[in-house]
Amino acid sequence: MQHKGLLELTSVSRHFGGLAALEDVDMLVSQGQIVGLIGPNGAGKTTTINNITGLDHPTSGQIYFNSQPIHKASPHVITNMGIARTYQNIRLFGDMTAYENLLIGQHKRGEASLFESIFMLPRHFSQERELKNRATELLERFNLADVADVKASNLPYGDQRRLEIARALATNPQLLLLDEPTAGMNPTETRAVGEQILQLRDEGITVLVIEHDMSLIHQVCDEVYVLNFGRMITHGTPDEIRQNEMVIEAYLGTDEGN
Amino acid sequence: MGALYEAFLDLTATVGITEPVLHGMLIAAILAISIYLTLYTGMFTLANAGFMAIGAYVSVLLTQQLGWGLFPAILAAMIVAGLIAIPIGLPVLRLSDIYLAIATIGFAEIVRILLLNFDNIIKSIIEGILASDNEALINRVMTFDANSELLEIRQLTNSVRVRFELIEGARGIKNIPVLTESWMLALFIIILILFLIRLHRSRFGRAMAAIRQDETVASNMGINVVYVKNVVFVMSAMIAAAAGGFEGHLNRIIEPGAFGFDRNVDILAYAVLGGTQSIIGPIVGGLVLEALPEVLREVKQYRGLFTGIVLLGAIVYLPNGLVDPAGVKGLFGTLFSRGKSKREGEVDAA
Repeated sequence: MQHKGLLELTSVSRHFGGLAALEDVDMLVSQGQIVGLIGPNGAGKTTTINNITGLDHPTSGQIYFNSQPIHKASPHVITNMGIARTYQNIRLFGDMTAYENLLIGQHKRGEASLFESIFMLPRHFSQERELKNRATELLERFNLADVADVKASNLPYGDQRRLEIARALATNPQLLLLDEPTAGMNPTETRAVGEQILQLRDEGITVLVIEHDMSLIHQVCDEVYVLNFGRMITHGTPDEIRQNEMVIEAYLGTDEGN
Repeated sequence: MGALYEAFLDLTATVGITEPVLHGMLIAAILAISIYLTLYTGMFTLANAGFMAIGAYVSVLLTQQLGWGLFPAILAAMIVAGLIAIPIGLPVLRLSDIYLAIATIGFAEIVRILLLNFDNIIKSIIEGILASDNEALINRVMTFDANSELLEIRQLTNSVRVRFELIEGARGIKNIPVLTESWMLALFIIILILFLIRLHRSRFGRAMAAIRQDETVASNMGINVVYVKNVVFVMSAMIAAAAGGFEGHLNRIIEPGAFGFDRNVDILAYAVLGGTQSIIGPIVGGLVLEALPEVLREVKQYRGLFTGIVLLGAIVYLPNGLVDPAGVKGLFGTLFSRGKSKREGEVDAA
């Protein structure tokens, strides 16, 4: 079977008892694209991301990443294959500093075994140096260098959001899944996040972004998928989606509805 | 060195800490490190007394029956406990919180009950073999009897009587050689502390902390959560087994009753009292809690009450344990200038 995209979902369904959170969802994300996933609350957007990252598994259907089936794989295996994510509700390691959060993100990049670290063999130090350099690089890039040693739970909201993206990038992903990256941000901050997403694409990272903010979708997305009640109702360019009657009705609401 | 140690003991004896008490304190410190490892990884396991029992019995059997030295015996006991921890950990560590605690208490109780009845189980098996008509097996059992003091098979007119005594059930094993000395315990604790300091600075140690804070996110960061949890559980079991091995060679006698549920509660209390903010916390907790009844000897039958009050006070006023700089500062602040520091304390909590 030939798979064209970087990420491909073929008729994925996820049922919780009698409730169909996802029903026959097809999706194709090609290398180098920025793809949006929109839909009203409860449409199944986060369930989709959970299924892609292995936190949840489809009841039926397949998910392929780089032509490899991943719908039965464990989360850490999927991360090591090159998928990273952020969370709708920020989930940083609150007791750790920003810097330490970025070290955790690089867990799989480390090569020194526990034995080598315990006995302070050379590989431990070369690894720690390498992880430290990468963490510093990420801190600077996301304007977090001043707060490197602040506990993540004490950071302001905007810093926490950026740190989460930085931590996801620390895993060296090919595909980055952003779950509402601009929730609670003002328009200026939202645009800044948009710039950063575009920059990631220029570096060769494919991005799948869940968003409510249509301005961000228009700013960055090449293609948009629309979920409603667990079904993929349509997909197309942001402009096509804006004009699509079904989307306006399902997602943006009808005139009579107001 | 020896003179120095004697002088130290003379000094501590004035507050009731004699050599046996010191031994108990050091054993408690090792056990506290054992439970610290699992708590630090966010696993509420209470199997430590069970692994301690395994360590004590395996090492004692090796030194007493086979004449091994203390160190190889304890090393072997640690390996046995570690190997037993693998099949226990794989299914049980999928549970979390209180469910995990109950499952591991179950394991510890199974160990204790097996030790109580081990001799009878073996006896029943031998009787079963003798009653069967498998000639080869019967002959093998008979030859074992011929060169062993543990097993005695007597042929009566119309039945066989089997006596098998290795662990001696509830009476426990007696006449154990006393081999453990203070310096061994102190040295072992120092090695453990060095090990833990290195562990905390390693990639594996960071993964442990990440799992404690958010298991789901840790797995999304590429950490193999099942692997890390099981390795930590095995390490914890091996350290508990070492504590058991050392304790087994302190008092000439071991019995299953010493490794029951209340022992587990004691071990947990070390970590609760000392706090799990750093490795020093549980060690201090273990030392203090074990020393307290002896230091409080003067109040005789009320010392249990005082120990309880100290524990309760620590939980209420120092919820992060005795070894928690912020907490101690906050407590002193509260004591000396109520109004002002109360506000500071709230900031700390946030």
